[in-house]
Amino acid sequence: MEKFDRQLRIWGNHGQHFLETSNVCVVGSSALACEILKNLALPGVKCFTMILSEADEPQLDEFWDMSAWNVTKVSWDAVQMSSYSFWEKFALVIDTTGHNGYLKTLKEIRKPPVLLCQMLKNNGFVSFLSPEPHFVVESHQKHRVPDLRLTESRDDLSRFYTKLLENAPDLADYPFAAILYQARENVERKYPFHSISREELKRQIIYLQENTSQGFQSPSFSEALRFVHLALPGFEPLPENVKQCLLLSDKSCETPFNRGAQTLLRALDSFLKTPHSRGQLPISGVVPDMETSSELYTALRGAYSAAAERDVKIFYDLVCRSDPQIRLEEIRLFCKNCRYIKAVEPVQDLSKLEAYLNEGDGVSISIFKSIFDSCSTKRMSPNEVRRYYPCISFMAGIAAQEAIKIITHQFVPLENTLLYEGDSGEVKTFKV
Amino acid sequence: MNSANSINGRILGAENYQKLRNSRILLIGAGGIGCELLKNLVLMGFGEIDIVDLDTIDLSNLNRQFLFRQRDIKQSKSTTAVKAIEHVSNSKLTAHTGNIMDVETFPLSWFDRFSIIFNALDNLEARRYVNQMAQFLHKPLLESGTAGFDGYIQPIIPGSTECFDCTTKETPKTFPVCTIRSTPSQPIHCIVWAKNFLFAQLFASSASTVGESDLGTENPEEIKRIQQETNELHELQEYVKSGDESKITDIIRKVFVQDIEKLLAIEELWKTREKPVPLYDVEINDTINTDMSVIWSLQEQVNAFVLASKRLMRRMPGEGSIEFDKDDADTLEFVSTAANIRAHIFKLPQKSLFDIKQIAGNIIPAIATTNAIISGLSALASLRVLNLIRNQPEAKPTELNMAFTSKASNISSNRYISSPQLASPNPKCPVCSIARGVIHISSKTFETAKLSDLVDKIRDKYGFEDEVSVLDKSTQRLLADYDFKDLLDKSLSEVNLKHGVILSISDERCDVEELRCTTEFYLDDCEEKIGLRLPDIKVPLVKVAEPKKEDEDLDDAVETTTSGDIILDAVDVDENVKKRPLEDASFPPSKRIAEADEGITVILD
Repeated sequence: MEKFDRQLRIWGNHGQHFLETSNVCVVGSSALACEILKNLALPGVKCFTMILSEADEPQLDEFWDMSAWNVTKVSWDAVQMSSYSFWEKFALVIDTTGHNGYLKTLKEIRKPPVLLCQMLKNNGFVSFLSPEPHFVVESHQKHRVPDLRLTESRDDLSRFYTKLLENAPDLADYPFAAILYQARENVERKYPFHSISREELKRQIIYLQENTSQGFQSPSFSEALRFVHLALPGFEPLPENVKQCLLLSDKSCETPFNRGAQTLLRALDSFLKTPHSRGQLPISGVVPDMETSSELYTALRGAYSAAAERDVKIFYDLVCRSDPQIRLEEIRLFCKNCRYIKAVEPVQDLSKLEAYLNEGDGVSISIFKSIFDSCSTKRMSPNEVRRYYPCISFMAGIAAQEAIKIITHQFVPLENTLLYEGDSGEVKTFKV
Repeated sequence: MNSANSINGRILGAENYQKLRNSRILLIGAGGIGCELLKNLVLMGFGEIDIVDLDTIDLSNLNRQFLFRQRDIKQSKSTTAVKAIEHVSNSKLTAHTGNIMDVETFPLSWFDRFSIIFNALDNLEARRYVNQMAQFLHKPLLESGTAGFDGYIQPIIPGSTECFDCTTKETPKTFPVCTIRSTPSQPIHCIVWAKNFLFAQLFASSASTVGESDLGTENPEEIKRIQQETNELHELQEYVKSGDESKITDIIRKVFVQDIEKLLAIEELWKTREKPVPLYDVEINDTINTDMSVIWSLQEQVNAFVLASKRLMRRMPGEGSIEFDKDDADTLEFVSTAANIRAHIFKLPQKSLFDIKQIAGNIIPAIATTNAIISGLSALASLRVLNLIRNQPEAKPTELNMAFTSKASNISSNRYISSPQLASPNPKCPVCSIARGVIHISSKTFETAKLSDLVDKIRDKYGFEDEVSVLDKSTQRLLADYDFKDLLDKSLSEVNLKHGVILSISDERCDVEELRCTTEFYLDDCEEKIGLRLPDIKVPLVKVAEPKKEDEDLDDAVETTTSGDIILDAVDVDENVKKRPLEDASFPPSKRIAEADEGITVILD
């Protein structure tokens, strides 16, 4: 594990496990193909099949430690490779050739997902093709909104806050979440049939602040004012990304991860219909840092993680109806991340990509078309390979980066096509 | 490789390709970016490539540094990289194993032989140093870095585009001494204490010292206690050296019971804070945990602390002193368990060995794919910087692009990389807004010339008035100013000036509207017969800037080691940490990755 220490910190042991148990097929043996293969072998993909196309491709074989990387090289065999059974074992196919026989096969075979990555001179493209949506539970969003449920408190959290604030002589040291809760309660009591406005809530916080020992010195009150939106009605509607995932939860999928995600999404749909949830997602149990004493903070965190555990339990019972094998750990991970769950829609099939290129116009599309059309026929000479090497290395980095996201089902992969224009140095993305 | 046909009419064109073949370039760093970049530069066909790295190969490099194999572990990175690629290379490759900041091996004149410099470094100090060298020589520099899925390149064209120091960089976090020693409120404080105080005092040669002024507290009792504690630990070091393993329980009693009791006695500290609870009734048994990724029980921490102490004590006679190294399991376990036991005492969350390794070892996540993307971009950008792309009008430096990749497709919905154009130099930049030149000075002249001779010559030539200050930038020593003239009569060598030193001359007049621009001179070697030669540069007058407000945080105390290092380069601590940290377990690993924001944030290899 020591060897992978620096990357386990990005995708964890479970992400690494996906990489190490995946079988990846690379079509082509050009410098681009070898670079991609290297970029996947280094982080730990242990099993490759490389399909050599009919045309001799220049190689820089000396570089690559193919023997250490467990690469099975096979020649293109139209009969064997037109059968589904040849392809089903791969987690991902990366085609670098635009090889006609392969492209024809690609139109007929549904599985596995495919990354098409091709180059011409200093231009290149990457396209993610799959007939099924690609679900990501751990999208690793950088900016998370605190999940405090202050707009309409759950019973368990209401009980907690009521008890916490009982006999609180001075709110100055209390966490901002408790101050927001108190302020909202006060406003609601004052105007029972009224939707709370930001100004009213702010006024109430300032009123509470004036009555504390520290007056305007309390950092908790500054935080409460800064996070006032967390307690306003309408703050926590179901996010669009979750709605989209729910809509895709019945689409036919074959990838095990996607099927698992769909089971969880269907359970989420039922969860949202339970009276307990009031239409809200399972609570994450993650509490942001707040100004307060260790004691109060620990109590607050305890209350939220107990609430989260309660949701996990209810969720677990819902999932078990359709999948009794599911592990509690998976449910925990899902509940914690479900606000940020994401479904990417790849290019459905190759003919969609072809149609997109034939119908579109503009400079970018014509560059794209020139790469796409030339790749099945043209080969680079060894000297050209050297000349264009930085572009090749760059595109191979991108293709492998996307491959890792697709294989680990962590981070949001390309949706769904990308073009690099060498002359301008620009990268453009399209959703086909 | 002489097929002119294929070269003709391709991206470079014959003439430009010949230029590329005639170029000698410098690559600094043979790590994640360095290996990839070396391969790209070799295959592009640069004529001569020099590669510098001071490091040796480690197992944890092998997930991305593709020129290295298991058998290469402990070998020099630069030499191994060159060996691994020589057979496909048409370039003259030269490996240097050494620190790029070593002026003996790599004087300024050495940098001058290259037409472009590539930075593939992993630390701020070296990046800043090379940036300065590039400014002295007006050499284009291609700066780059990655952290996890994030990465950037920045072409730097001295005089035309902003330099590495034109924007403020995220500097390592430091903590007031009192927080570390008396009142920790986050697990990180306990980790700093364990690594830089306890471990350093017991085992390392450069133990931490505490100046009176930099404590971050004014409580006299607390200050006294901090100083006493340091002295008492020196006694414990004797236990460690004695090799008497039965003394380990004494160390535990001293550090985790008596010292805490003494802190508790300072009542003032605990009026607004939760009191720590000394670790009474310690028992040691055989329970141990070997799972690095879970948080151990207190008993397991104590047992592991004892075992790690024993192993370290046995090593002491042979090694004399032991420095903390994240890859040295004994030191890591000692620091990790000591930090967690202290966290327990102060009722703070504990962390797994895996997480403590990241914090204490300042580990920045790294993967092969981001390095491939960034080094590809860096190599591509070099062609533009050197104007080698055929049929493309010569780009103005500010039309060049920087590039960022940030979790790739997460940057925005329609861009995989973002490539803002380069900005002009920041007129307030402390590095590139000043004048620079090279003073050639022979070895003998250091003995014969007095400091005053040199200063007078400089003043005359560049029009400085009387009131100047003279600073040795390399050591931040003041050599002379209007009321410090003691050193002026000494010879240059007597005031420790030598080749490689950078002198900074500032106009210190008050009440004038314009000042002579601050100027830095690099002292470089020359033939004896020349003696001393000042460069023909113009030092302009500049408008006096409005005085800036002092940054209040500057006064915050920082615990330093005798070597002057800042104690913990924890760049990857949660940024929104206030009183307590978020528990890492409650966030995905990405939370801990150093972030690249809109501006330029330093991302380390």
